[in-house]
Amino acid sequence: MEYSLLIFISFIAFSSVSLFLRTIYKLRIDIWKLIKGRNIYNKHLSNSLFLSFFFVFFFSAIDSNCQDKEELDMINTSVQKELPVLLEKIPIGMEDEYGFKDREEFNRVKLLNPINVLLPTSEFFSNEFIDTTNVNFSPSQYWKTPVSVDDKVCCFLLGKFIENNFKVFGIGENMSAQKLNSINENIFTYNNMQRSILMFPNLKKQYIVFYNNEITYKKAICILLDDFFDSTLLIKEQSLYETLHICKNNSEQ
Amino acid sequence: MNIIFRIKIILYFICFTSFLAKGQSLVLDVPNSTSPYGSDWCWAVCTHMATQYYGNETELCEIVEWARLNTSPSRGDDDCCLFPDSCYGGLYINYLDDVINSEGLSCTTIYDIVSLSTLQSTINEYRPLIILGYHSTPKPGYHNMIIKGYDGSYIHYNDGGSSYITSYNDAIAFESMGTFYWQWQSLTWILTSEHCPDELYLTELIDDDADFVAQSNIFVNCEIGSNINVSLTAGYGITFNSTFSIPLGSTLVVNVRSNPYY
Repeated sequence: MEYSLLIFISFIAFSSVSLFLRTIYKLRIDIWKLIKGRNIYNKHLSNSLFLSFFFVFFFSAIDSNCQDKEELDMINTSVQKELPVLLEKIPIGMEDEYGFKDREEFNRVKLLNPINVLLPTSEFFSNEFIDTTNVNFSPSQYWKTPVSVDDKVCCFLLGKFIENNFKVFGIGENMSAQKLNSINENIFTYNNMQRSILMFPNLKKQYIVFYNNEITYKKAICILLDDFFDSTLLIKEQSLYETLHICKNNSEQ
Repeated sequence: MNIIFRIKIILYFICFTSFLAKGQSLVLDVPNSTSPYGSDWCWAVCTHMATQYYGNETELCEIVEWARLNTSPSRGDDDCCLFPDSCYGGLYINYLDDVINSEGLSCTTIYDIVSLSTLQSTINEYRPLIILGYHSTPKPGYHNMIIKGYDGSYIHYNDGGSSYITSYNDAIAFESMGTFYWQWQSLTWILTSEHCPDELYLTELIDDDADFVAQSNIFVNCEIGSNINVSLTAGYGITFNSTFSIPLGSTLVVNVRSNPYY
């Protein structure tokens, strides 16, 4: 969540707290009247109900934001700890298979923002048609953290949340890293958009998804990440609907 | 005990424990290979990587073409090298050993995962392993990958054109391997063909005179049918060269001792 939005919400919340306290004060009198059967509908009561709902929503939003941040902190802590261990395991002379030119590059590695893996819901496969009004996939416990050198992604650290702890499984996937570099270099439009990886393990396909709205994924753009045969790094942008449609058809074949 | 002897004992202990902590490692030079987008050819890609490792020059589509003519499910009537799109299907996994054999390689099928020690001893004999991966959600999927090495309890493997490192324990316990988070499950094909390595790696240092041997490396030039040339460099720049004639797959033990007259 953007900080400016957080400040705006905080301002609204502060105003609301003042109003809420004032309402509570008046409500104390009105509840007494209500008990005595003088009023059924009460303006202050409806105000307080509205504000209660508002607070529940507000604090859950804040809590969700904190939880997201906590999750990211856990991922970052874990990948930073595991990266040197895994880099050391790369055999001497085989650095290129992991996207590095040589071992000297290990001193310049940076970990980029972790990317969440989206998985299709079971309804996606069981429903006869793709319902464009519903999102047919959801965030998963899987995350991929790009490892970069000099602003180029070399490979990924792959991991998953298991029982509230983040576990790094390993390092690899330099072919996807090459495709991601190609996308980053050629399509600047998406650089400021949020990104996730939409993965279909049964089809062995994954797409990088660029979007602005993480709830509706409206106007999301998908680009296939794993089309490597003949060293092709062709970038084909397609809509989310088109992507889901293709995957749905493939899974039924 | 004099003080120098005590220091020596402590130093040996530190060297020994650091050697144990480092553990053993060996990664075979199994080349990476990929399949056409949209194909379900992981089984063929693994076979292709194995054949390349053993020095054969078969094309990927030729492996699929053999499968079209000799296995199920049906891949139509068109040649898979001329019309690869028509052959994009998977393979009934029971046929994988036949496909491997068709390339002149032999393998043993194990209907289980193998232990880390078995994996390590197989790799130590310069033989890779093809494994079956499984991912459960949201819809079950299966996949073949090839294990080419280990480093202590970590395993090295190729999948989809990329190399990966994952711990053995994670590979068998979680959906954790490769691009699509596979779990090694129930099936392993151990290549049993003998491989002639370009280079031998020292997998075990039996060192009963650490005074003079700081480190030891063995480099071997090997051609099938010829002798094995061993060049060993010990500590203090002492070089030892010799030629052996030993069967492939056997264990070479080199005892290094300091010259008693120095």
